[in-house]
Formats: sequence, C-alpha cells, structure tokens
Amino acid sequence: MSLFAVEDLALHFGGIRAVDGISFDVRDGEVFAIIGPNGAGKTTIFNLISRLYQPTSGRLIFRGQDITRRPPHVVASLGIARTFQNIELFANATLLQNLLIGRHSHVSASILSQILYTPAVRRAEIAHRGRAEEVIAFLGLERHRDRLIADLPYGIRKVVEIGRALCIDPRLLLLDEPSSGLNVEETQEIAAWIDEIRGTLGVTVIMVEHDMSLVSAVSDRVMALNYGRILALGTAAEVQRDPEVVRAYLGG
Amino acid sequence: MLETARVIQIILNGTAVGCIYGLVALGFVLIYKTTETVNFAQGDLMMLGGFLAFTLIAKVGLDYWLGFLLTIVFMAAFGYLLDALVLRRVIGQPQFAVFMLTLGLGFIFRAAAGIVWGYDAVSFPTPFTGRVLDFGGIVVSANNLSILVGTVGLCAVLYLFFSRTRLGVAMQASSQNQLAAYYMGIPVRTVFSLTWAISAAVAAAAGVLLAPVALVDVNMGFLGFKAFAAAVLGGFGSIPGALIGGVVVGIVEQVAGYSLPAGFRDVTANAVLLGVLVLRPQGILSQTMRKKV
Repeated sequence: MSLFAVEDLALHFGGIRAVDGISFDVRDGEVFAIIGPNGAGKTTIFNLISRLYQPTSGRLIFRGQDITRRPPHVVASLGIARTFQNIELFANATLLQNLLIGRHSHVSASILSQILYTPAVRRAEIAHRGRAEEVIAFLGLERHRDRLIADLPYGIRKVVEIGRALCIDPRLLLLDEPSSGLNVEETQEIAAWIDEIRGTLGVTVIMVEHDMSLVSAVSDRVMALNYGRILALGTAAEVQRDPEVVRAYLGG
Repeated sequence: MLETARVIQIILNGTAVGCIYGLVALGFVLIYKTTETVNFAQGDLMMLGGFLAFTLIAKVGLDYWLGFLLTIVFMAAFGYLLDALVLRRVIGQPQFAVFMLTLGLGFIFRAAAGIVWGYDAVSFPTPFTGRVLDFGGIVVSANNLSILVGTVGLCAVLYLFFSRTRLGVAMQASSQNQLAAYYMGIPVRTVFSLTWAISAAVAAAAGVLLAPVALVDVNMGFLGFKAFAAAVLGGFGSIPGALIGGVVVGIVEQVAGYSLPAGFRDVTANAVLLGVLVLRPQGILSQTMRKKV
C-alpha cells in the first residue's frame, strides 16, 4: 500500500532541469533510499518533498491527500518530519527543550488557558513531557537530557535531531544524509536506529544517503538518480548491479 | 536626611522615565531577536500610540482604561499589518534595505501624524493627573507610579506569554532557527507578523503611559534613540537587559540633569552607550546568561 506518491515531479531553474519528471511510490512501513552522484538532484527532490521548494510541475500525494501546495509548517502537522544534512537544532536550548518543540503541532490550548496554566493545560504538558521522555529513552539520550545542544558532540546532535523529528509522531520521516559527518561506528549506530524506527515505531523512512554500506544495511528499496532522472529503482543489490548506475558513478 | 530624600527622588524619577526607554527598547529587542531586523521606527510607533490614545480619550471621550486598551489593540493590528504588507517584501534583501525601510517608515509616520494631529503637543486626562503620593518626604506623582506599575505588569504578562504559551515558545524557536522552526510546524511568517504586533503594542503602551508626563507630539519618537542606547546597553537581544538598560539610562539622565550644567542631560544616554561599547561591547547581560529558553 502506498503511503506517499510522487507523480511526474519536475523543477526547472531556468533552462536547467534539476528534477526532470520523476514518479515513484513509497509503501507504508518501508525504508526508501535515494542515491546518486553529486548534482544528481537528490537533495532537490528531498527539498521538494519536504515542501521547501515549489515544483515546476507534478504532484505530491501523502495518504491520499495532495500536499503539492502545502507550506512546510502544515506538512509537519500532517505527519511528515525531516532532519537536515547539516543539523538544524535550536542550539541555545537544552536537548529536552528541543524535543518538546517537536510537540508544537500537537498543542491546541488557547493562549489564555496556557497563561493561566489550567489543569487541562497541565495534563497536556505532562503528556508531552512524557512523550519526549519516551523518545529520550528510545534513543538512549538520558544522560544528555538537560545539556545545551551547543555543548553536545556532533554525533549526538545528529541523533537528537532524529529524536526531535520523532516527537512530531510522524508517519513519514525524511532523513537528509543521516551519516554525513559521522565515523564508521556512529554510522552503524544510525543504521540500528533507522531499523528500530521502522520496526518498533512503524514509521516509514525516505532518506538521501551517500554511504552505500548504510543504504544496503537498512533500505528495502533504492532509487538511483542522475541528471534529475531515475536511473534504476529496486533492491540495493539490484540497483548496485545496474549498468546505468555503475556508469553514472564510475564514468565511461 | 534631605539629601537622601533627594537622591531617592531623583532615582525614582529616573526609573519612571527609564521604564519608558526600557519598553521601547524591548520592542527593538523583540523584533531583532525574532526577525533579525532593527526597527528604527519603534519610537514613532510609540508616538502613534500616544496620538491614538489622545484621539480616543480626549476627542472621542472614552474612559481612560478603555481608550488605553483600544489603543493597544489597534496598534497591535497596525504592527501586524505593517509586517505582513510592508516588511515581508524585503525579506532576503540586504540588511541595509531593511534599515532604510524602517527609517523611511519613521519619516512617513511623523509626517502623517503631523497632517492628522498637527504639530502642537497634546495631552489627555488620566485618573492619575495631578495626584501626588507622599511617602515620608519622598514625593511620587501618581503618573510616575503608573509608569512603574504599568511596566512591571506588562513585563509580567510578556514573561508568562513567552514562557508558557505555545505561541511564545514558537517565537523563541523562530528566533533561534527559522528553518527548523518551520519543520516543527511553526508558521514562521505569521510568527514574525505577531512579533511586530507585540512590539507595536508595547510601544503604544509606552506612549500612553508617557503621555501625561511628557505630552504627545510628532517628534516624541526621537526618544527611540535613547531607547536604542538602552537596548545596546542591555546586550541587544536580551529582554531583561533592555529593561535594565532603560532604567540605567533613565537614572543616569536624571542624575546628570540634576548635577551637571544644562545641556549635558540629553547627551548622557549616548555617553553611557559609548562607555559600554568601549568597556563591555557584549552589553550588560552577556549572551550565555540571557539566551535561556
């Protein structure tokens, strides 16, 4: 069953076709990886899906709903969360506060009742805090809970960003190069989290990734791109064997 | 004993004026923290608030409190629209364009106020006018006291707003990382406009509180320069810093007015600013102390 569908998506910058008529489906509960050499249009597709860029043409369908014209902040409340290649956290806030901001789209009380801190607001706050604590426990971040993001090492921040995305309670999680800047051990750790997120939480994942070891380890299906077009789509092994893909990576 | 009484008197008067500087400085800081632009028309928003209250209270004849409330509501709406219709168009332009735009807005506001309300100083009756409280030799006018109480009350409301409400937290989040805020489901543009609304409302409140003490006139907004000094003094980005900065400038000014030859009073704000920039360029409250969410 398809959770998310991209139909004939295109983005042209003047004469350059960064994304040139791409269609694919992402099934509920799968890990879908997008690979390709530099400049293939991976990140552009990612920014189109997460609604940072406006496509020239094509449609994005999430759970049967057309989200092609929805702004990014609405997409979050529909159940799509994302991380960033270069980590975009609230650096002057603690880890816990960052996760709590992830609960933003689930808060619905009026301003007045929030200022007065009514019992209903209090119960809701406790529930949000509880959800954040669950994510902290899930990712094993307990000992960093009250530290400022600015004081945490890069590898931990990468995990925190995934945690904040999970606090949104997403159906679809978009990971932009989850292994970038990480060493081999940290990358293996990320692979384990992605497995857990899909397996335990049942969240569908779309990720852009360079590291083929990570892609092979976690993906159900892989889509290889070059020059804004699909070269191959299949399992990691199939795609890696594809002659077009080999040519795109190695030249010739 | 007379001397002590006089010193307390000067400090109290300075604190009252300083609260006004602090409120205008607070408007500077709110807009700067959230949208990373400096609104040089902040003082003029205060002036518009003062005139609007004059119209509502003295001309229309509304009750002081109702007029005060309506002024704040109208000015908040004005601030919101100002951002949504004007400022939003220069997002992404060089800082200098934004700077020139807000400076230009200030000129337009002053000219428009001159056309609508004329160039004479005006005032309106308040429940405090002419009343004086005597605390054992220390005389406090009810007007000054209303400024102090008004500022404290306003700050308490703002504090609760920023620490407890979803919108207040969204504003803090947007000020730290706009991109991330977007993906947490925060409508960043609307948050920007609401920040302008709050800043304009705070400026209007300052205008209404100041009106009975200093009268409302077209050039009232130039007080914004002293408030700017106060904001820099407080570290430009710190809300408590802006208020403390305002009170410091207000007190220094009163002391200078009392003990230095005439004319020195109006340069003291900038003298303090220069001194702070030389000795402690990061402001009174440093970054680590103030960036707490």
